Amino acid sequence: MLNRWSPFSYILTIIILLPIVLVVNHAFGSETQTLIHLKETVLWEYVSSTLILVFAVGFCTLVLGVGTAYLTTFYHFRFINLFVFALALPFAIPTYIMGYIYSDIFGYFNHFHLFLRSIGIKEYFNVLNIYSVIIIMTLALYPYIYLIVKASFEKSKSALLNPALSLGGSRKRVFFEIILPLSRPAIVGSLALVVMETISEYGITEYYNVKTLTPAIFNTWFGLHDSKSATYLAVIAMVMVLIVLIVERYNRGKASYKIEGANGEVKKELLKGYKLYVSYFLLSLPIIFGFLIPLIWISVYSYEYATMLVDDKFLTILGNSFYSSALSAFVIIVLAFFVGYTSRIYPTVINRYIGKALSLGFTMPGAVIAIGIIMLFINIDKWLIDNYITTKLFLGGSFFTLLFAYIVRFFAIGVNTVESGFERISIDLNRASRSLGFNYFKTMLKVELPLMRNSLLFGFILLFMATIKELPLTLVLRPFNYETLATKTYLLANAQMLHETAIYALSIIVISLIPLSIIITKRHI
Amino acid sequence: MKILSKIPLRSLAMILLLAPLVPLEANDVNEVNIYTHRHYPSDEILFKKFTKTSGIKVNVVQANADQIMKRLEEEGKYTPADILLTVDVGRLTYAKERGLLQPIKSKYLESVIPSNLRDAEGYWFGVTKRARVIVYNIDNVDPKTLSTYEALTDEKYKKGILTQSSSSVYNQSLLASIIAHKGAKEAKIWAEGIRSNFARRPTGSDRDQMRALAAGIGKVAIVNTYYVGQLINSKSFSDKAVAEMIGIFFPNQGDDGRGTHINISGAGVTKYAKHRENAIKFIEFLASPEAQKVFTNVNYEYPANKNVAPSKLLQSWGKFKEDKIELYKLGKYNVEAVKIFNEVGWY
Repeated sequence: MLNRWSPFSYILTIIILLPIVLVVNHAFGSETQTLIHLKETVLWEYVSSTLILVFAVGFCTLVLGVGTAYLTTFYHFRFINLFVFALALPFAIPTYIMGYIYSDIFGYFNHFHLFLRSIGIKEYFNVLNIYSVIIIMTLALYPYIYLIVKASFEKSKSALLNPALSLGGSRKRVFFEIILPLSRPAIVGSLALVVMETISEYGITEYYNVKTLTPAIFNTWFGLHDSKSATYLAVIAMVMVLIVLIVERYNRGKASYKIEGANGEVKKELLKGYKLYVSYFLLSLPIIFGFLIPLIWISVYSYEYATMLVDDKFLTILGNSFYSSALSAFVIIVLAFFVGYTSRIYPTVINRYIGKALSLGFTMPGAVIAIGIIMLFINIDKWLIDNYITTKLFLGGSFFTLLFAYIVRFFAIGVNTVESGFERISIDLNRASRSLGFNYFKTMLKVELPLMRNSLLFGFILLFMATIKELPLTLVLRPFNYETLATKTYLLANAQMLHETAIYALSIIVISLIPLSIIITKRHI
Repeated sequence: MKILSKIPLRSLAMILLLAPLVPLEANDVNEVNIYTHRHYPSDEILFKKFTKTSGIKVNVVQANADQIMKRLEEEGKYTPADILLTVDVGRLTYAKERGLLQPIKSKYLESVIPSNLRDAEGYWFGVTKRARVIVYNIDNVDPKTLSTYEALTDEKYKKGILTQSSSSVYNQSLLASIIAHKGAKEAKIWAEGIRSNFARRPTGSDRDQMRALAAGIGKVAIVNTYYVGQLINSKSFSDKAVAEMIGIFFPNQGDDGRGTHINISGAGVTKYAKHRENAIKFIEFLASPEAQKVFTNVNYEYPANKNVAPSKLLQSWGKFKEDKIELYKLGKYNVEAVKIFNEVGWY
């Protein structure tokens, strides 16, 4: 179908996929010897650990994320607003930092052990294992599902709960038979984000020595000096995720999840008795372990080390983090909106799957993407220099490179929030507008944009929080003397100066809190 | 609200959006650009000192060595980097092999850096040393019973050895040194022996190995010396306590011993350096007594400059015989070492 909208999506997709294509192309012609060596020795361990981690973290985040979203959407109890807010907070703490903190608290000869000894318990246990990684990654990643699914629940609740209840359905039935299936795009989409991030996580898996494919990629690349085989492994991981995404999209097929109707206020069921206390208990667990304990740790050490680390550069670092995250989140959400709108008005086969293609950057470890980005910009730079347009590297090692890298990396989050937003708005509204004489562009601005406002704001904030924590890309692609909170945190932790990282981790949390409180106080979720 | 509406929001947004397209830095001629893996407080002190004494501005990107080397490689002749500064000799030799560095002549460097700590052709120079030593729990190990790395494969250390995973470059270089001295076959037997004596699956950092040791897990750990220094000087009460419970042992001493394995951090001038003279000046500065003192006092590393004494703390651990093998030889065996680790299941 020829139209003026689709080419924009195609060009954008090509640009965003270019670095990935360059990297994949790099993988062809892998030295089979290295691959045979890996197959004979450690490959099975890599693959099985990856699968175990993905299934365990996926399952746990799903239960925790959907469970907390359900309780806070359909029930009422004291302090509910506090819980709604606090449940999102673990997202502000980078996964690897949470991993370091827990090993600092519970590791051998650390706080918890010394405490046990002081009360006469000599027993020791090792926390640096895969079970801890599952728990920590669950705590760090469930907010993806909680936030996205809750936003979806909120929308279907007001539209559907009242009519369904008035027709005599029980709350449970309405939830399981209507609202849960309707939230499928949101649930699957957010789960996909969790899975992708689990596969590409490097910091904590390395430290806890859980051999997933990502550390394997690094081992092959840097240890065996075979970047081709390493990329080959990265492609395996990417293909695994891609298959899941496509199967899901295909299964969802043409099912419709649109809702219109009265947005009447729904009376939430008041929780009482033992149910109330069980709920308090369950809701508190992720907040305590995913946020409060790390926060206490961070605050204590921030206080202890603040004077040492807060210098004239600190504000610059703060500014860098804020600006780069906000800018890339804004650009991504605008582009994702265009792409989403295009596939909405021209739902061709290509357009329906284009979002998945644009998500590919999230399935590969950041360090591998970084190589693709470097290759891309160096080639452009070389062309510019050869044609006497510039005399030295113009794009390579510039802030623009970094910005582009964030876009490639995090487009998945933009696509996911935009898609699940669009799923809920009937295309009939669009048709009606056009039948009244507005063209596609005007309709987009006058109809879809206002209806999508909350979804977009929400996506922006998720993106902002994800970007501000981003590490591998920032570390290797950044310009000279360019520091962000994440790079500072990581480099100090990596030099095993863990306590010194606290002040930077605290800054990440505080900055993330600002946008987070905006969506929550404005009741956008 | 009225004030708010007066702010030209749209133009402000446009400026912010377009800002990244404007190149930030002017072309500063008197500068030196460094890609470094090292992220220690000592280095920031040294960058400042160098600028102060020479007037040359130091620009830095800190990132993981392997990745930043890939960036250097891709940038090719257009790279802005003048210096590659990294830890581990395996990486330095790899950088030379990949054609990322150029040879330099410096009478000063050649006179103060012992020949085993630098590339024979001048592609890279060691600037600090660190020894990979055996540390033990003073409560349950008598240091007299310790002798060599090889002896750790003995039955009596069953469930007794703590060390990092095989992705640690320091373990890789240690194994590479054993390959260089004794051949791959012996080295594999050694790795196998150590693995079967593991106190636990290798996890965490060198510091974590010592914490586990202090907690009574295992008998000995294989760690780098400067991490011991960091523990001793830590602000944390528990880390200090850990440091008090462990002793340092330099293995493979004596007349027939080959000496304790040492590794270096080192620097080389990149092949396409635009500020070659400044780069050489910078490396010479790192090797100067002034800088070497900072390395040893702030980061507890051994000076590579043979005329500079280690810090008091390092001296208190005693003198020891170093493995004097030309370090560049270890680089050759790095890949083989990783393969052996994979084969014996030292994860």
